[in-house]
Amino acid sequence: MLCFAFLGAAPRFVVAQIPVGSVPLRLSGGIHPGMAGAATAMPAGAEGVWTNPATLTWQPKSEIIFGTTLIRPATTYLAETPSVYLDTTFTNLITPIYLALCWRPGNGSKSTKWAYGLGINSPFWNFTRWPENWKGRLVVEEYSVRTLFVEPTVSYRLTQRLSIGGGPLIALGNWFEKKALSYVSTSGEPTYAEHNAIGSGAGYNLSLYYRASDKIALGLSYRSKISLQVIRGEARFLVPVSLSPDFPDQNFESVLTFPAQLTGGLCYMPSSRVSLDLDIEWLQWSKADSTFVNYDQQTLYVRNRTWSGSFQDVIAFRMGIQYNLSELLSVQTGFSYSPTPVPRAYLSPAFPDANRVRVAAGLRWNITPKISVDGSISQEFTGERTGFLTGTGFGGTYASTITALNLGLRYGF
Amino acid sequence: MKHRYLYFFCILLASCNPHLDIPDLYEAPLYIDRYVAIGDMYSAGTINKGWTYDGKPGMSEQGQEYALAALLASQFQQFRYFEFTQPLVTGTTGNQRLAYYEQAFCPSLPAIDSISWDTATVAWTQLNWQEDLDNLAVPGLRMRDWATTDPSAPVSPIFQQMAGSGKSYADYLATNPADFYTVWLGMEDILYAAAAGMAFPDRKPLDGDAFAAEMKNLLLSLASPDGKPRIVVGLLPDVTNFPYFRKQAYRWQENTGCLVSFSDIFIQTANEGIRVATAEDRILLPARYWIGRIVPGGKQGLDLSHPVPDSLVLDRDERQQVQQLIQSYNNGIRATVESLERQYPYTSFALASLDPAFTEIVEGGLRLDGLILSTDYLLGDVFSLDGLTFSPRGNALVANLWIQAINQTPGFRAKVPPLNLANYPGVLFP
Repeated sequence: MLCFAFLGAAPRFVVAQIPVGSVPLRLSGGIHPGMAGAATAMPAGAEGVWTNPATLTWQPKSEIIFGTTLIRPATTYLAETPSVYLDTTFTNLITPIYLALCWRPGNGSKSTKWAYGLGINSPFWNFTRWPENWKGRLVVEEYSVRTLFVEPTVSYRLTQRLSIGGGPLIALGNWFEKKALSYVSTSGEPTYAEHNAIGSGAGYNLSLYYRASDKIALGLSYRSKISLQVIRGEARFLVPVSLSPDFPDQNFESVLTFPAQLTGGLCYMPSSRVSLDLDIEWLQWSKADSTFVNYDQQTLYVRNRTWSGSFQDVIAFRMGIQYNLSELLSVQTGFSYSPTPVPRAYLSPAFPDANRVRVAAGLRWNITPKISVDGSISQEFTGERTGFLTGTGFGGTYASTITALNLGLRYGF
Repeated sequence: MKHRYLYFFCILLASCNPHLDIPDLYEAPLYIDRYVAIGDMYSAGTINKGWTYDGKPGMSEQGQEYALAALLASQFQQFRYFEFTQPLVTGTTGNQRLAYYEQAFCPSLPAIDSISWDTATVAWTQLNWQEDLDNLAVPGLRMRDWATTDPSAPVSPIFQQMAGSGKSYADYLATNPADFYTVWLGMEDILYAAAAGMAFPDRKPLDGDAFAAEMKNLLLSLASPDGKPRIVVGLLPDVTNFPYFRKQAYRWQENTGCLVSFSDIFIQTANEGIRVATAEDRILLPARYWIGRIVPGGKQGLDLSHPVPDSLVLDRDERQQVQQLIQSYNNGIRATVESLERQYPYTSFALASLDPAFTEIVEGGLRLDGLILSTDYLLGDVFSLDGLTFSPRGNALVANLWIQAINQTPGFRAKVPPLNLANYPGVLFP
């Protein structure tokens, strides 16, 4: 075989996107989604498994809640001027389910200092699908992250006023990415790369609840970082026949990381009817911004990569109010503000994050003392945000919304 | 109560798509009644041309669909529709095709490719266009003979079919007035000589002054003191960076299994006789089929007695000469445009340059919309199989750079939206 030397060619990797892709949704539960997630210092029932396990010992009775959240994320993209190119992601309804159980041995009698909980939900979920022919299809066409967390917790009342709680977090996740490739075949078929991974990981949560007085309570909750190690990762490539030996379908290893969260809450209860909760949360995104993709079979094009999104730690605020109108009905409303961890230079169409504002409202209707219906609605939106994704030469302005309707049932026993 | 929530949610579903204001297209429009493109194969839509530089093959309807002039017209038409008629070739006058491509098993080795030839399905003489044409770019048109009427040295066979015989290109332009022109000439003046290794004295390009004088005549014929034509003039990129002039091919690579060995290539130079090729020399793309063939007494190109002929090499002196020529042409274009701007204040001129984007493409790759654009042969996405003409994606990139020049020229008062590069193919792989 005789050929010219062909040295120093430009790198042409199959660039998978930065697989860091979801903010905590805080949409699972009966009451706190209606308070925009603010319930760290408020005993909210079984959903305390997620907000603050230490509050479970303050639960008078055992209860179980379950339900689903209909979530509709949408993002609009506008290319850099003078382009007039505008596109919007597909409207897809995602429907994570949740279940939380609080078991109070002895039915909450004062002698019982223990409470046990179990939570199953999807705290992180992302779905972004752009039209097939959209401008950024060589960067990303579809990107989704789904998780399922199982959280057994135990809670113990140390003193009359102080309780602690915690437990392991067991997480399963699925991450999918599809992007078009630049190679064009003579037959005109589309070319693309798909990465699909299932991973698992574990972590823990720890929390404190302190009832300072009848009117004031404090809560502190820590949820550790969770890294989902890929159990099975499959890469699939559709390329012109002549290039297919360079794009073998194969397995890969990777990791998907969610940040540690430390939340401090203050609850003010001016009367038995009203609870006002204020949360301040620190999210350690700086330790959850890097990942890698290692292929079983590297080729000239399919190369292992590492990424760092240079994310910043952020502090989010949430505020929620619950008002008990009567024995039958309580209503909630809330507001939250979550700054984005993503710098402008890493703004990806897979995860076009921006500072997020959420408003929410909800109600609990106690049909009988044992059975309640929960419903809440929330709207999260970002302002316009302009940025680009380093290494791709793709930029533009994005704006996103997440509309969510939460429907659930509570059964006390 | 619950159904009310559902109802509310339905309203939200319908109304809560995040809103972004699209900039008003008509805030800075570009209204054109007639756009005439003046140029050579780079405006005409030539693609996958032959190795022999004769100005003939390489026209096809597919190529013309993505011609620079056609892409520009399609963007201008967004403001107000106007006819833009091309001398469309039904079928092909002969094109290259990537017939085979295989990445070598060993990562250190280059890919093996094979280019085959689609023979012409239509002869030049059959081409015939009844309608008025707007893309007047002619493959093979050189600045040096834009005004010639000598029938023995026609500008290009395709031009004769467009204009009829006995007419100079200058005459033809005079009968096709427009209010918007693009002018990109000079590349074929240079390439006529450079793509043949500067080996033929009769292909000597115009010197800088003569080029500037011809350019001035051409632009003078377009500018008018009373009308207000708008004219975009293209500067020339350094063609010696095109993949036809192979940057990394100065050593011969021989592979035994996965073992690679390199040997010197001997070249015939203009000033230094026969010598070993260096990194500063450019071995031309057609030489890939010539070097290494066994001949009595050795292998072609690999020993002193069988050097690569001058016509397959652009040696370092010749390369420098070409670069200086391009610079003097560009200086001439700039000076001409500046003087005409003073002379004709009502005529708007814009200068379109491929730089600095092209420099990035040459120096390791320009990243745009997820693409990595480079001068790599076949995989660089910018050039077609001949290594000289642009791929459709390359044409779209050039069109965007021209649009950028228009948008940045105050006299045009226009904001033309760019093309979406992902929509245009690079090299087609089997």
